Amino acid sequence: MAPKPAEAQKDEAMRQRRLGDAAKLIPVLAAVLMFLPGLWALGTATSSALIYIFSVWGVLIVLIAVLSRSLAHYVRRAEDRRRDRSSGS
Amino acid sequence: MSFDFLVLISLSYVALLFAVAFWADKRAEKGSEGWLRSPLIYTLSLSVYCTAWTFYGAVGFAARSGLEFLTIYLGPTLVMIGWWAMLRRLVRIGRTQRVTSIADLISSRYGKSNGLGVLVTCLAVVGTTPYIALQLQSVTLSFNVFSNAPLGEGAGLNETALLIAAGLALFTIVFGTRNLDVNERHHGVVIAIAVEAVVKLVALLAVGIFVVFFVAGGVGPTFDIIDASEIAEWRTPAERWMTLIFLSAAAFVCLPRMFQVLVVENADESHLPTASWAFPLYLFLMSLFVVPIAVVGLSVMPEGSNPDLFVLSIPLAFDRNALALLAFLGGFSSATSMVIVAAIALSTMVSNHIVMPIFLNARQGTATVSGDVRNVVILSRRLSIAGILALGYLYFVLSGGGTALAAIGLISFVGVSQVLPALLGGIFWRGATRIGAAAGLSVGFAVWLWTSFLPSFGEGGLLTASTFEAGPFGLALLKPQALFWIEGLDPIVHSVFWSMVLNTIAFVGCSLVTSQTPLERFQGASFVNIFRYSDATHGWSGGAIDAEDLLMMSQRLLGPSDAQRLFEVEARRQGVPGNLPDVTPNFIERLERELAGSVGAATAHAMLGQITGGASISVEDMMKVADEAQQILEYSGELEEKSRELEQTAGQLREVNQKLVALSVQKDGFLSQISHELRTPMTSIRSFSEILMDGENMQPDERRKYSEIIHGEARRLTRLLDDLLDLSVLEHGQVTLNVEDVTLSSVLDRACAATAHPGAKNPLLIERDRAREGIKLRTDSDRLAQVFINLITNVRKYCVADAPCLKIEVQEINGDAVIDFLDNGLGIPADKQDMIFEKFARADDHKAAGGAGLGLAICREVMRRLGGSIDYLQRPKGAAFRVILPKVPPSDSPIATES
Repeated sequence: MAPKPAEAQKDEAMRQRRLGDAAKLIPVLAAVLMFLPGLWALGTATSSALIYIFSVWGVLIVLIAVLSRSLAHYVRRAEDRRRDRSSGS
Repeated sequence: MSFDFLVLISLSYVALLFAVAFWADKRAEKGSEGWLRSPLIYTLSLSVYCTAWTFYGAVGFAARSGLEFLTIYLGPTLVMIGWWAMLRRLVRIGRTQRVTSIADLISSRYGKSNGLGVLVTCLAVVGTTPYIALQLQSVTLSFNVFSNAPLGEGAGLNETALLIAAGLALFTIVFGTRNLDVNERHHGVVIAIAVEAVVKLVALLAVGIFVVFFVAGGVGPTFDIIDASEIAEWRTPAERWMTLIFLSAAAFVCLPRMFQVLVVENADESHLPTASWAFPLYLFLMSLFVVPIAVVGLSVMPEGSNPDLFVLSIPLAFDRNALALLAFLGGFSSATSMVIVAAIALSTMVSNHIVMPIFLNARQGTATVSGDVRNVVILSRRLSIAGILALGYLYFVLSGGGTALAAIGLISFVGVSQVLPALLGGIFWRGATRIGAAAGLSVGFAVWLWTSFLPSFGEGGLLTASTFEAGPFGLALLKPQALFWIEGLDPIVHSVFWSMVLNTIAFVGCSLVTSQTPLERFQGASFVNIFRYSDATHGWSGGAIDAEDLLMMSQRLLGPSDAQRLFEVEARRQGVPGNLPDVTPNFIERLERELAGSVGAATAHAMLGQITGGASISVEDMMKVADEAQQILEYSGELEEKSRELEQTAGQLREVNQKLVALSVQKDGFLSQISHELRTPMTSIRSFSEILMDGENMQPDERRKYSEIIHGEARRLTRLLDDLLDLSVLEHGQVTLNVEDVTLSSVLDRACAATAHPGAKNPLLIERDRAREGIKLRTDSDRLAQVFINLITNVRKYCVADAPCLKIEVQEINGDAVIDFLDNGLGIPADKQDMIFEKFARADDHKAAGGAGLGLAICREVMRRLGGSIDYLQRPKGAAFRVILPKVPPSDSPIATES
């Protein structure tokens, strides 16, 4: 693999950083969305609550799936390198 | 469907699991795990979170409290979604530190304190036992549903539960302790769990689809049923909703069985990204049909049916036996997988933190063989598993199996969640101390026991009604469900709030006022900074270093092109693609050296220290630093040695130089001396011969007198020239030696005779000891006699004593003849002693015998030619010369080669 130009390197590092920050913030978003039903007035219809919660849940799963797929690349790279290092030493 | 048929199905199912687990273990042993080590298997193994409580209990929970049951799944979803922030860290720590259980993690983080390990183990056992009882209860009840026996037929139920407990213990022992893996991984069990995960998901989905599409008649009608049901309205208060989500999230991480599958059994960190969405999806699917099943059950089942068993009873009510059987297997899977993993996790903890320390303590002093200990470990694991299931069974029997499943589950959750503050503090806060962790855990454990566990047995159970009403001993402050006079809180919210708050306050407070042991400090650093060491590319997270930051700083110091080249070379060396290398301690070291070249070592170190935080350092690194210091010490030692040598050489040079200067002065003196010496006799010869030439009328005796003077001066001149010639010949080795056998006495006799001066006004007395002089020599006797004559003549010339006396002492030392010449004169002053053997040297300036100062120089040359030596001896009074001569000339001396 030919070394990438320095600009591309920098871009990739920045991308990884942004992805990591997003991955840290998404549970906060998730918590806010999940706690929301607690603030509803007692007596709200169960069926609409059901639709809301499962929709939020589904969206979160899709979001984290997209994010994790991007981050998985870095995790795998680190894992491979670690394995190389431990088998090399 | 008969009870026996059910038992047969269950046994076949267990046999199938056995086969799967066995096959997986065999493949793992062969190293060909393939897809057995895939993210999918990891995700499915996490499903041990979904126990029989989920499978049966969630429907019951929903039938009682509406959507509240969802909190139990939203919490873990939250944790999985936040994998990047916490689980990844936990998994990495678990793998690098080879953590075997949650108790091990806490113990290892806080300085490998076994006390903490015991505390967490006790908490886990007490918290998990009711949960195991719950599983036994649900499986037993499900058997009961099929056999159509009336509920609560005590004896029969207990027997079934006992059989189930025994069967599960056997399975767990066989697969959980078959081998002792250093990483505590159980491939076979994990695969079996994954199979069970699929079975329970398929079973619940099948029942759900049946209920929605066949019983209710579609999605729309199902919603109508929901709106018409008892749980049509949202009834959960905000604090309870949020507390339960928090609680399930905490429990998801802290439950011993969850920690086992999440961290200990994790084979590859890159499984986490997949599990982060796949497991929430699994939970989503597991809970999707819970509400429909609950509301349909409530509407179609007869009044008073147990909603906890709707999953089974609805298919049975519609005569769908196959579906009911699938549901039964799903419930059976949920219960067994939970019990198996929990028993493995707990037995590891009990055996590692309680049994083994006690055993090793008891065995102290006696030699242990490692195989011996291994057997003990396996035995203690097996006994622990049996013990844990026995405890669960006991709890089941004692509690009477009456309480609603969900209540027990939540109480258990609150108990194990007490580990959370110590766990999070341990992986995110370096300042957390062992005492803080112990205080937090103890306080949390105590508050949980008082506010949740003991009240769970009901009024009049373990706590009396008056204690509930007025507090212990009438102390309203400590009322179990209204601590600190705060009434009206939901019991679970109350318990979670106070246990967590007091736990955290105790943990943080004690951590702040106590200090860490060195091991704690070290472990704390390696836990909190786990990514700094094990994975440098993600170094920027958690405040660690980034290669980019380093590059930026280096560019400022070295210039962009040099710095980029340096980083590229390093990246190539590490085999990392691209231009940015991993930030390893080695690289930082090299970089520091490079920077030190332009800004100085101390500045470079300080700047890098600022970027890297200069904080934690591994023992290996410390050793390296120590080694370097050692090398520097050695190097400086060598330098010191060298400089000492140099000093010595300089000193020698100075000495030699002084000698040279003195010699030069001496030479100058000699030149004037020799010209004087030559000039004096020449002058008198010339003047007296002029007198003789002019004196024709001179008296004959006058003429004879002048002629004698001329003759004498001429002789003196000749002698001087002879001496010079002699010395020159000796020094240039052109002398011929006549070697012969002589006795020392004969040589001395000759010398004495030659120097005898009868009629002198102050005769020299020579003392000799002839008895010792009989030494036989092989040497040039003429030359030796010449040396002796010179020495005796010197005494005659320079000895100023009134009665001059020379003592000649002869000894034989180491086969050499040693002849000392000792006189009773003044001796030679110390500052002249070095010079007397040099040419033209005179001890004093008075030229008593008209010698030119060549005598001793000639003596030294002669002795060297003869293979011996001549030295001046230090003596308090009088001069002393020592002549040393080998009896037979040594082979390497000039005399030996010439003879």
